[in-house]
Amino acid sequence: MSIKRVLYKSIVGKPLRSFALLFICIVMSAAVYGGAVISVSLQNGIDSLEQRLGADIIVLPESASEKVKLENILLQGTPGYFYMDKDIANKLAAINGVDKLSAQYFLVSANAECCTVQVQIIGFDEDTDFSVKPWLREAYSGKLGKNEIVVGSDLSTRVGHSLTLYGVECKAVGKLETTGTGLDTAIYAGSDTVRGLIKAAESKGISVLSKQDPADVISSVYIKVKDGYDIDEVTASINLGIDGVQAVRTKSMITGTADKLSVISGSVRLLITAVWLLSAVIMLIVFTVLINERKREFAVLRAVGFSRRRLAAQVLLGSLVICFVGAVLGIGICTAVVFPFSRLIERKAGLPLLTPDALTAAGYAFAALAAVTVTGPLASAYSAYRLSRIDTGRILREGD
Amino acid sequence: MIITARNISKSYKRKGISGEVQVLCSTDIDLESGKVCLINGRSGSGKSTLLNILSGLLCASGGTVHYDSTDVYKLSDTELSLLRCRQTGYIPQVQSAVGTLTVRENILLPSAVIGKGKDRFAADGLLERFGLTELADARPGSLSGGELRRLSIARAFVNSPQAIFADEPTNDLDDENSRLVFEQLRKAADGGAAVVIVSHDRLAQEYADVVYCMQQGSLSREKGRI
Amino acid sequence: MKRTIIGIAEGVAALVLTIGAFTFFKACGEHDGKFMACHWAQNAVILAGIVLTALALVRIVFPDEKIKTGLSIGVFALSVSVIFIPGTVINLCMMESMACRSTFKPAVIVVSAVLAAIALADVIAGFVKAKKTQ
Repeated sequence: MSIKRVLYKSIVGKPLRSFALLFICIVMSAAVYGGAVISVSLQNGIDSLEQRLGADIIVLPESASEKVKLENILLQGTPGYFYMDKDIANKLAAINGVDKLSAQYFLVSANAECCTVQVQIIGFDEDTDFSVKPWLREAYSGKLGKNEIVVGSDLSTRVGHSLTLYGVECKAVGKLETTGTGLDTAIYAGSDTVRGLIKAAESKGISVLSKQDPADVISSVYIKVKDGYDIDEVTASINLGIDGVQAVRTKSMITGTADKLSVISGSVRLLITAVWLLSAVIMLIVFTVLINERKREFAVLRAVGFSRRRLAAQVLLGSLVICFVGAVLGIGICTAVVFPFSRLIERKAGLPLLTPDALTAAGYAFAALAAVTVTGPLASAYSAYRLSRIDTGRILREGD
Repeated sequence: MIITARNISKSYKRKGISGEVQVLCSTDIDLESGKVCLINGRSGSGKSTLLNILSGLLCASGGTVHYDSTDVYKLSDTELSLLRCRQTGYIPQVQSAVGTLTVRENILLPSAVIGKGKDRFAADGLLERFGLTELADARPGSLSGGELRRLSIARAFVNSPQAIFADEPTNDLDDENSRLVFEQLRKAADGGAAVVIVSHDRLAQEYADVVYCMQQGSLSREKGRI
Repeated sequence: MKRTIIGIAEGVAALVLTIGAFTFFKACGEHDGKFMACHWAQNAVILAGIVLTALALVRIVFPDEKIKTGLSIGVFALSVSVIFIPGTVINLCMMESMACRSTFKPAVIVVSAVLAAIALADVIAGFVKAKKTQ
C-alpha cells in the first residue's frame, strides 16, 4: 500500500464522480484544442491563398458573376469557366505599372477517369507564369510537353503516373504544394495539351463545357505591379482603359473571405473562452460541494497521520490527474475528428482550411493540455485549503 | 514512551454564545509505557478534547505536551503528523473508514503514510486478531457498525505504536466484542505501549491500571498510581 | 463486469463500422450506372464489418473467458487490416474533396482504430484476468 494507491482508489472508487469530472475536462480540452486548430487552419487557408495567387491584380471578364465564379474556383474548388478576348493580354501589357502578367485558360472536364465529378483544368503559359510553378512540390525538369500535366495536391495521381482525360493519357510530371483552397483539386496544363483535350472530348462526343479555342480566348490574367507603383492606381487604370474587363485587387477579393473568417475566428475564440470559463466554474462548484462529502474521509486520513500539506496535495493531485487524463482524451478525440475530416469541414464551411503541420499542432495540443490540466488544481484549490484545515477531532467525534 | 501533559487548558468559541467556553483548565496528566489509563466522566466534560490534545490532533490553548523530551506542539505540522503516525495509534469515536479503500487497505493506511508501504499480507495478522479475515477485500460500506469499529481499532495497531489513544472504542460493540477490544488494548500495553482509553464502558475498569475522572474540565484520579 | 462492458463496446463499434459504411459515411455513389473504384472499397469494409460484428456477438455470448480473449485477438487483427482497405488496398476516387476521401476513408480509419483499441483492451483484460485466476 502506498499513498499513490490511496489517491488512485479515491478516483476509481467513485466512478460516477470521476467520470463526470472527466467528461467536463474532455469537453473543455476538445473545445480549447479543436477551436484553436480550426481557427488557425482557417487563417492558414486564407494566408496560403493570398500567397499562392502571387498576383497583385487579377483581370476577368466584366460581368459581375465572373468574380463570384472565380471566388468559387479558388475557395471551394467548384469548377467554373469564363472567357475574354486574347488580345486583352497585350493591351494589359501596355498599361503603365504592369511588371509581369500571365494569362490562364479555364476548362471544366465533364467527366474524368473513374470520377463522376467535374475537374477544373487550368491552362497556363509556362513562359510568363509566376503563380503556378513556384508552388511545385515535386518539380519536373524542363518544360511541360504535350499531354503532360501538373496536378493539385488533393488529386491522388502521383508524379510519373498517368491520368486519362477524355481518353487522352496525360502524364503527371509535377505536383503542387497543399494550399487548402480550391486550387488543390485543379489540373494544370500547357495550351497545347488543353487544345488536345478539347479535340479529344469532341471526337468522343463528350460535351466539354467550352467550345472556345485557347488560341483565341483567355479566362483570366494575373498581374504583378512594378515596384513603386500603387496597385490601386494600376487597377483603376485597367478598369478605365480597357473595355469588357474588370480588374480586381487580389487582396480585396480575399478581404471578403477574410472578413467572414475573422467573424468565425472571433466566435471560435469566444466559444473557447466561454467553454473554459464555464467548465472551470462547474469544477469549482463540484469541488466545493464535495468538501462536505469528503470531510469524514479526510478526517480519517488526518487521524492516521496525513499532514495538512499532504491532505491538500491529495485534493490537488486528484483533480490534476483527472484533468490531465480528460485533456489527453479530449485532445485525442479532437485530433481524430479534425485532422482526418478536415476536407469535410472545409466543404461544409465553404472556406479554405489548411491544417497546421504536426509540430505546430503538437504545440497547440501541449498548450491545451497545460490549460486544462492547470484548471483542475485551480478549481480545487479552495476545496484543498478547506479540507486540509478540517477540525479532525470534532468530525471524528460528532461524525459530521 | 512517557507522555507528560502540563497545565493543559482549552477554550473555544461556540456559535450563539458570547465569549469563549472553557473546556479544560490547568490539567496535568502523565502516561507511561505498559499502563492502561482510563478516563471517564460525563458527556461534554472534556474527555475527548483532552485525548485529542494528548494525541497531537488538537492544539491546546495553553500548556505543553511532551512525548519523552519532545514538545509535540513545537513541531511543524509535517513533523508532528509523521511523529503521530510512527509512534501513536488513534481510535476515533465514530465509525471511520475511507470508503474507497478495502478493509485491508484501510488497515494498512498508516503504513502508507510513513512511506514504508507494507504489502497486502502485512495486515493478515490484524485481520485475524479482530475477526475481519473474511471481510479483507470488502468495502467499508458493506460492514456492520461493530465490524467498522474493529476495523478502526485494527488500523491503530498497524504501525506497532508506542502510544494508543482510544475514544470510546466499544461504543457500538456487544459485550463479547468489547472484551475482545479491551483485551487487545491490554495486550498492547503489556507489550510496552502507553494506552489511554476514554470510555463510559464499566468493562473498561477491569483492564485499566489508572482511572481518571473528568469533571467540568478538571481531572481527578480515582484508581491506581502512575 | 468490466469485460462485459468492453464486449458490448466492441459490438457497438463493429456495428457502427458496418452500418456506417453504407449509410452515414458511405463512399461516392453510383453514377450513370457506373460504380467508381471506391464502391469496391466500401463493399470490402461492409463485408469485414459484418464479420467483425459476428465475432463481437459471439464474444459477448460465449461464457468462456479464454475463448473471449481469442475472439478479441481476431477482432483486433481484422480491424487493424480494415484501416488499410480504403486508399491503400483498394483505390479511392482521385479527388480529396470527394465523399470517399473526405468522409468514408477517415471515418473507416477512426472507427476501425477505436475498435482495434477496444479489442486490444479486451485482450489485455483477458490476460490479466487469466493471470489472476492462476
